[in-house]
Amino acid sequence: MELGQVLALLGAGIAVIGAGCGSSIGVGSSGETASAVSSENPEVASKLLVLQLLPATQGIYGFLIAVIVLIKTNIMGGAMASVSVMQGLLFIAGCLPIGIVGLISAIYQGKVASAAMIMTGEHPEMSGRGITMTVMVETYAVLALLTSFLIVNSIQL
Amino acid sequence: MAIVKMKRFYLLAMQADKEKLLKTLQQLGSVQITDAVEEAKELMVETGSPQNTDLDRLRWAINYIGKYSDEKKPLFATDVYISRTESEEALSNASQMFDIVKQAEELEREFGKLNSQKLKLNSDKDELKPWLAMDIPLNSIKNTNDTVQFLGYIQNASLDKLKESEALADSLVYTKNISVISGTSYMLVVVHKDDYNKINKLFKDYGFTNVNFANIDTNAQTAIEDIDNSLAEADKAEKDIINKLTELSKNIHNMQILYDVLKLDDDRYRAVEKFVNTSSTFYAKGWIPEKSVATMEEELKKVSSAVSIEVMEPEEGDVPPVLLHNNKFVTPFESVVTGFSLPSPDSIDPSAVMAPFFANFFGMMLSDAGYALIMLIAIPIILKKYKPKLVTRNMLKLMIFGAIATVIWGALYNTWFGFGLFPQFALFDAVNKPMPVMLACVAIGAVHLFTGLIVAAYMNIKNGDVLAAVYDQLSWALLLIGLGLMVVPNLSNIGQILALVGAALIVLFAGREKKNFFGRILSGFGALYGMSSWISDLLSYMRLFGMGLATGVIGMVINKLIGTVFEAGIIGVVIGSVLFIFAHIFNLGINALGAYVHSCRLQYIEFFSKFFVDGGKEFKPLSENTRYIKIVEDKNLQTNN
Repeated sequence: MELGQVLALLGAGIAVIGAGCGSSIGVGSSGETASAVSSENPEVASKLLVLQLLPATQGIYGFLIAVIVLIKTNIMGGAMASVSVMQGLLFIAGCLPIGIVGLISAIYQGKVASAAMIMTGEHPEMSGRGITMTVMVETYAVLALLTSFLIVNSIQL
Repeated sequence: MAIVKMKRFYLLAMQADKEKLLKTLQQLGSVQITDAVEEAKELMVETGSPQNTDLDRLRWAINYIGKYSDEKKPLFATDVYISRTESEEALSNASQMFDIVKQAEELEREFGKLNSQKLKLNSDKDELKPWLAMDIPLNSIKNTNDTVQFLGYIQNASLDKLKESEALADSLVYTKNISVISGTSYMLVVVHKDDYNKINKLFKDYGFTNVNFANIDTNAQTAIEDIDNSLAEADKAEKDIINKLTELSKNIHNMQILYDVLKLDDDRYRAVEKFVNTSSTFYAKGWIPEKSVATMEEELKKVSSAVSIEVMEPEEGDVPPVLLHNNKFVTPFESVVTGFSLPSPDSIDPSAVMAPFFANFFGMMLSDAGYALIMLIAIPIILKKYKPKLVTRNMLKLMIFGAIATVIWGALYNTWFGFGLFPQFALFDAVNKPMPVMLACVAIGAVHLFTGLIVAAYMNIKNGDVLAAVYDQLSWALLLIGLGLMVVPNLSNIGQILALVGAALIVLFAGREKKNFFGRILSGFGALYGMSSWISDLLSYMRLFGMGLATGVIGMVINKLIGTVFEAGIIGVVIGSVLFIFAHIFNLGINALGAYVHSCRLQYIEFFSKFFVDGGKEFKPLSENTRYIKIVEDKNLQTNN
């Protein structure tokens, strides 16, 4: 295996690991709040599930970028394409945005989601605002996803 | 665009007719009663309205018993219709229902007792376990003529130190380890009574804790078996209680009807508290939508001829509540607006302007025509078959509009269940040529934002402030269009002029409230800096591309992975097909949620910030606002809606 290929796979790993860890933390912490709030007010449970799902998307974005890397390098086709060291570094550069931004934004989104859940528990009619506040954080994950996609997509093998 | 016009409503009538009039108002459901007491406090006589504390008990019992109901919950909560005569009959079995409430309360107490009993038994059992190795009746550990005997436990680390202490060495004491469990030694201590005080203090100093089994006259083994028997009995008693509760839960529908009937009474009592009551008359004040006035007057006059009704325009500074009313296409979109905030009564309802944008944004982000077709088949079936409650129904209708837009955008992206099935409809190739898609997103965003500006200008003109529309909205439109044209080769000169005129208007007039000229220009430049927020607003529409890409690429990946499963022969085809369905349902679910919340966000943050004035108070009429059932005149009329 060439060094370039290893670097490309390392990039895919970074995207999945960073964004996936972030989403796990975010979904986990907001899930704790969701169970606490819905035990007091079971009627809002479905609204809470929506909130809990919001920090989950970063993990999917990271996975998405990783898969694009795997498709580009044709590792899924069986015979991995030849990747120069420079191209391998480019793959890492492309995966860093979603890996890092996904990690941090999902954690913070989880915190906002928790707060929004507490608000929803006390004022169910305000769940819309809670969701909006939580989605605010997601903007940066979407921007990172786009940047990652544009970089990875531009690499010509 | 419709905020319903509200009128002030005043009613003066006889106490004797009060109950009948109130019932009529409640059935009409078109008047919100407001507090009139402040206006004529000195006329008040105490009428003393009964407060229904039983309602809370009933509600509690319904929830509590409901947990043990073995009835299957439907997928979607549906409305239960009860005719008016049936609802009146419900009152006749009130005493029977409250008897059930009482039973439920008693069962809950018993349940609590059993639980604490079980807790105690379990902790007793844990206490006994270390002494299993000591095969004598536990209460036979007692003092003799010359010795004191006791049981207890101590941390192993402390025990080691204790054994080294000098005081122990020159005392008449015997210790025996019975067992060691997770770092703690359980032991029997025998000490000569002369040394007891010294030893007792020494042991205490090292953290020794005494245990006392004076009332257990068997060995630990038998005592634990006794406890196990008691626990089994408690479990059985618990099952009995649960069975009783399940039995009681068969009455839950009747309890719910009774609750709602009593709640309607309670709502009327609460309305009466806002009336000015004299000994023979009462005076009420409220809000009524303009279009409901005629019906209300007619119905109230039918009840009694001795009523004086006055309906007037609200006075200056009297802020009416807000009720939105739109045609049936726009109504589902109201929930998006109310999820943010109700508009202030003198602004406008943005539901209608927003609707096409919302549906299209949803379509661009879900962006899979195949998923949308599934939604278009499934949602009408759900609506027909389950008849969900109004809120759910409106949400599902909203999804239908979103799905229609998704079919179009999905076809343009050429994404059908993650496959590129119909290239002849394709306009974009998001994966290989992302630039045109991104430009399209920003362009649609620009249209959205400009629509916001136009609405703001319309509001200014409607309020008679044409200049504000020129200074605050036209100026920005000129500047932004100008900047846009500057990029186009042949029109860059015109663009430059437009942009300069726009910028000049902003600098000169944005701070027109300031008296001081320099202050005014300074805040003008400050407003011009708002340019940066326009840029970030525009970039925000890139999410339309990002979310759309996510759906498409994940769909593609699912198909690719399942394609490899398919190659593994017949078993692969079976497993692959099941996986295919579940994976795509997951992708549809998570992306539909994403498309919904991000469409909402683009309205709330980008669009509403251009014109929306929030702070409306919800119109809450005195109505048959029931919790579990809907009361109708004729049940048969309600089966098809």
